[in-house]
Amino acid sequence: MIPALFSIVIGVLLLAFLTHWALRGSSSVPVAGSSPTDTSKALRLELPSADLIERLLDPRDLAFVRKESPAETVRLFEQERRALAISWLRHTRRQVGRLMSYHVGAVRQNINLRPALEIQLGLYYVRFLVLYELILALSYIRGPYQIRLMMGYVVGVTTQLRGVSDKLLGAAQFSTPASAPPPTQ
Amino acid sequence: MAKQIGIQAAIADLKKHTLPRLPGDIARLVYLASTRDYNTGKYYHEGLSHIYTQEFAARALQECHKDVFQSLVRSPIEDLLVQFELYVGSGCAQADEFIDFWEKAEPYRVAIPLASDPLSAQLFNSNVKIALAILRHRENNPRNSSPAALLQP
Repeated sequence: MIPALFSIVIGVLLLAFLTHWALRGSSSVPVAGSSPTDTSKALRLELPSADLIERLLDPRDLAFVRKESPAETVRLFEQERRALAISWLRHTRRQVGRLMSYHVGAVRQNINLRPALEIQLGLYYVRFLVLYELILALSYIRGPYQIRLMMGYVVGVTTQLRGVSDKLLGAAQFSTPASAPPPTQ
Repeated sequence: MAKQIGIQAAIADLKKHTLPRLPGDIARLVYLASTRDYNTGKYYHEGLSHIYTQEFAARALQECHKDVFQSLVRSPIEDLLVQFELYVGSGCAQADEFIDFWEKAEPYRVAIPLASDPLSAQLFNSNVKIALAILRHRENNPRNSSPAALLQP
């Protein structure tokens, strides 16, 4: 019963996501395959490293600041960490949004589609959006140190997104004669 | 290839002769940032340029600047504080004057390498702000000083 319900929820979410992207205007979408450099820039996610996120939310810092400083410095520290965590999340959201906008443009103009990868990308995107909204809400309600583990999941999902986008980038680069690799000697 | 060897030699020279003489990573960061021209962002070091070329010297300074900055960004606040205590303890300024100036003018913001990613830069600025607040607290409450601070002259 529960697995069936879960499948239905995922299906509805995926349908909602596809409808949302289908109904969106294409005015700001970059043209797919205009040049390999444009494609590469559009598809490659620029994300901070996972160890930097770990450093940002390292509980040793919180313990040290609590031990060594007055309450106002602890408050300042928690505000700063929350702001940084949210800033990182929003940056990641923008990057992922850019990637998905590119794919919508590419899919509309390219007949060389790889449906399995596109669906995989869509599923990762839905998972990313759910995590993003959840973490954003939790960071306001419970503070930055309670979302530490979930930030790790975001890094994991964005890494998977990047993996799929790299595979699609390969497909896009070989789909137009202008961007084909030079012949080997 | 020859270019890479030249740059590596200049980096090794800096790491062997110049940087170890400076008291800690904060001093190294300030020193390396000060070799960067405010108007152009290019690095200059006369002695190093004489031995290697201007290009190799600039690249070596840039690489070392990046390394020192990354090491500071990845340090826990406790270690960053030790670096600050080393720096202030070296006699660059009176502790209260130093904290006043760094809190008001925030000179650490211009000590960040140009190629740093935004999160690293924000994290560094935030950690310095907190470390200065703790230093201020210690300065006003000497009994709270850490053993590292007590070792300083």
